[in-house]
Amino acid sequence: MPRAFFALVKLSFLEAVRRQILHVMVLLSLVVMTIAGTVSFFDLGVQVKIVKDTGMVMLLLAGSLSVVFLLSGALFHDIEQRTIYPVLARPIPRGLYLVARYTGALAAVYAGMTLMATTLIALLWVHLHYVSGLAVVAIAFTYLEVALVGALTVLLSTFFAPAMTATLTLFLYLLGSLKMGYLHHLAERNVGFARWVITTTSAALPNMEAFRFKDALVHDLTVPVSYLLLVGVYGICYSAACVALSIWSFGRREV
Amino acid sequence: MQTRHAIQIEGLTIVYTSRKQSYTAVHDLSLQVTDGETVGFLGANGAGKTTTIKMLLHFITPTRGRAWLYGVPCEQPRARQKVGYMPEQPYFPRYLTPRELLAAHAALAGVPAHETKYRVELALELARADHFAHRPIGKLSKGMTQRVALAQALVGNPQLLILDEPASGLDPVSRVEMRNVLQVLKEQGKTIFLSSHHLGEVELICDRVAIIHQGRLLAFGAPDELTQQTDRYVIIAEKVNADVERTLRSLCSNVRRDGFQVVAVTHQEQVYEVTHLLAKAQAHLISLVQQRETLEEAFLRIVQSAPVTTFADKAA
Repeated sequence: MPRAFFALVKLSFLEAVRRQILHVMVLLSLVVMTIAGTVSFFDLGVQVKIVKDTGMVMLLLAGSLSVVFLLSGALFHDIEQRTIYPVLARPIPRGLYLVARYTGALAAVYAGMTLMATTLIALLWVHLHYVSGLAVVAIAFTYLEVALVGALTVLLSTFFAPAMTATLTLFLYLLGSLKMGYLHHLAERNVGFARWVITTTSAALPNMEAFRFKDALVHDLTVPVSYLLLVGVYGICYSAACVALSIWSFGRREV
Repeated sequence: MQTRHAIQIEGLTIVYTSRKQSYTAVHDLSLQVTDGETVGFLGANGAGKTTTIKMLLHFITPTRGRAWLYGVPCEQPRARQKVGYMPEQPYFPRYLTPRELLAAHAALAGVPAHETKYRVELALELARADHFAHRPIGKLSKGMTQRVALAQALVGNPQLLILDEPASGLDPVSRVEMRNVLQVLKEQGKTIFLSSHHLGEVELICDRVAIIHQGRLLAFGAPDELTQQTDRYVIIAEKVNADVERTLRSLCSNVRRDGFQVVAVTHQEQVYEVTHLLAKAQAHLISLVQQRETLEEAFLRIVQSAPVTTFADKAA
C-alpha cells in the first residue's frame, strides 16, 4: 500500500508542477520579493520590515492561490478526462487516491514555496547577517496554513465543480481571515439562538488569522511556545478533519 | 460457492433518478463467468455494458443486487486484486511515457518493487507497445494508446481481464493484432470479460456470449447455442457446365466459380431441385451443408425479438 500511495503522489506531483498557474505565482512572488529586498528607498530598519512584510505576504498569497487553483479542479478533471478509471480499478481504497492527490499537489506547491522562502531568508541574511528563529516559525506556519487551505479545497471539490470550489474556498478563506474580531464582536451583541449560531459558525470556520506571525516577525515580538503548539495542533486537526470528510464524501460519489 | 466464479452477478440493477423521473439503465442482471473463460458482453450503444462494468469495478453503486469478483464483494478494494481493466476510451497523463505509466500502475497493482521492471517490459511486449514505450503518451496515435491501455491492464499479471471495447476505433490491422493478443492471453488461462461491438471477433475468441439489450440480459451461452440453423444450404459441385451454371443462378443466390468448383447458396425449398439438376447434368456434388447463423445474425434476431421498451417504460 505505501508503494501505491507514493506512486499516486508522484503522479499528482508531476502533474501539478507542470501547471502554469504555479509557475506564474512563484515567478511573480520572487520578482516582488527581490524588488522589495534590493531596491533601497528607506533606511535599513524600514527596509528589513518591508522585506519581511512583503516576503510573508507573497509566500502566503502565492501558496494559497496555487493550492486552490491546483486542487479545485483536480478531482473534477480526473473524472471528466477519465484518467481516474484505470487508477480506481486497482485494489486501492478511494480515500488513498484522494489523499495522494492532495499530498502530491501540496508537495508541488511546497516546492515553489520553498524557493520563495529560501529567497526571503537569503534577503534577510543579506540585510541582517542573521535569520531569527521567528522567521523560520512564521514560514513554517504559512506552510501549515496552505495545507489547511488545500484540505478545504479538496473537501469542497468532492461536492462542487472547479469554479464553485475555488470561489467557495476563497470566500471561506477570506471569512476565516476576518472572522476573529468581527464574529466575536457579533456574538457578544446577540443572545440565545442567534448567539449560538454565530458562535458555532465561528468555531466551524477555519481561523486563518491564527497561523499568521507576520506582524510578530516584522515588529520583532515574541510568541509563546505554548501558543505555537496550540495553533500547530489546530491546523493539523482541522486539515485532517477536512481530508477525512473528503474521503467520506468521495467514497459515496459516483465516478 | 462463489469462489469458483471469476465474476458472479446477482440481480444487479441500477436506477438513475432525477426530480421528475427515474431511468433503469441495468435491470436485474444475473450471470456467472467461470475462471479461465472468455466471455463476450454484447449490446448496442446504451445497452448497459459499460454501466455493468462500472458497477463491477465499484465506480458506481448498484441500486439493487450484488456482484463478486473471485468471491469478494465488488465494493471491497481487494476484489480488484486480480483484475486488469482496460477502459473504453483510455486517457492517461499525456506527459508520461508508457514505461513510466506502467511502472506507476505496477505499484498500484501491488507488484513488488524488484519485479516492476520485468513486469513492465513483459506487459509492453505482450501488448506490442514496446517499440514506442519511450515516447510521451500525448504523442501516440489512438491505436498505440489502446495498446498502452492493454499493457496497463496486464502489468499486474491479473487473472481477470475486464476489457471495455478494446478494439474500438482501431484500424483492421490493429484489430487483428489486438485479437491475437487476446488469443494468447486466453491460451495462458486468463479469464477475459470482453465488451465489444465487433461480433465477428467475439465469435472467434469467446467461449460464451452474453447479449444485453436495454439493460436486460436477453441471452447467455456458447456461440453455438445462440446461433441457429438457417434454411439456407451451401452447395459445392464440380463438373458444372455453363448451361447448368446458368440454371443454378436462377435457383440459387451467391453462385460463384472457384477453380473447378461451383459454390452456391440455396433455400431449403430449392435443395431437391438443385440436386436433381446437378445429377441430371452428371455434375459431381461435393458437399451439401445446412448453413448456421453468424453471431451477428443471431444477435440481431435476439435483439429484434425482444419486447420493445420505450424510454417511458424504462422510466416507469
